[in-house]
Amino acid sequence: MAQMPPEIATAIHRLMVDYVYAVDDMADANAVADLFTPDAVIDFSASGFPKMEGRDEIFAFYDGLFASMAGQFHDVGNFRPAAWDGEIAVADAYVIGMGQPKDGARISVQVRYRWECVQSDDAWRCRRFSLTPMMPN
Amino acid sequence: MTSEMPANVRAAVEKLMIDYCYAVDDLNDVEDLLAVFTEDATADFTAIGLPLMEGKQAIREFFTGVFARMTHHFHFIGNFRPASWDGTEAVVDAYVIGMGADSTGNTVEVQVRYRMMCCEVDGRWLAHEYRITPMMPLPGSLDEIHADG
Repeated sequence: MAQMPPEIATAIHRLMVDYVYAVDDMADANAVADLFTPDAVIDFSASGFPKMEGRDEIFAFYDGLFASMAGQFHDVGNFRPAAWDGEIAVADAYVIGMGQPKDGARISVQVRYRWECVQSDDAWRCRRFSLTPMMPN
Repeated sequence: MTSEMPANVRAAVEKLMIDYCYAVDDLNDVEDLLAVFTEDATADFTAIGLPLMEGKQAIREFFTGVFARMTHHFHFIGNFRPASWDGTEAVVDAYVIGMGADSTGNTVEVQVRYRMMCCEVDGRWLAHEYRITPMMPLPGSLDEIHADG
């Protein structure tokens, strides 16, 4: 396995940061969906949330989420490249995530993100995003 | 017109934000904190229920009160991200987990976003505008702990 070039690691890290800004802005689900390939899979099932396949399902999940939340905060740390084969960039990060539903109790999680990313057109996009809990809920 | 912020500018303004956190959390000398700002800097904390400060003297007066009351501070920056660059002004954002304790035992924790608008003055990058916006709903203890700030 080759080492991921630094400029690609930087691009993937920035893509993850763009993702949390788009999620926490809660303004437009398209801003989230645009960071993924049209056939991307987001698998939150390890944390009891849905598995989404394709842009329409991804848009619908975040659109519904934004309507239900009063505030969100996702802080990315410990970013680390995991694999690079010359085309697909895989990277992990730790995330402290918080959410306050409009109705209900505040949620706080400590999880790990894994992103598989590819370059399409002139931009890096995520094609698979999975989430692993680190601390018990 | 926004273009990509040069790496050296990005690094300088990220360091500026970190210097600000160290100065706020040292709770030692307000002048260390003021060194981050231009003379005419504006600090707008109104979105979290705290004052709008116009000019270094107003910032000095606010933080002199904060430093007198607080026994502990912890401001932890993440998700640093350039927002715009026009060739002279660097606008940057970051997430911040902020914690504090005062001399009466009150504690506070907030999750907010910082925006700093920075320019280079005599070879040093400084913030001329600084805003805080809430991300998670604010706790009531923020008002209590900075009530007369």
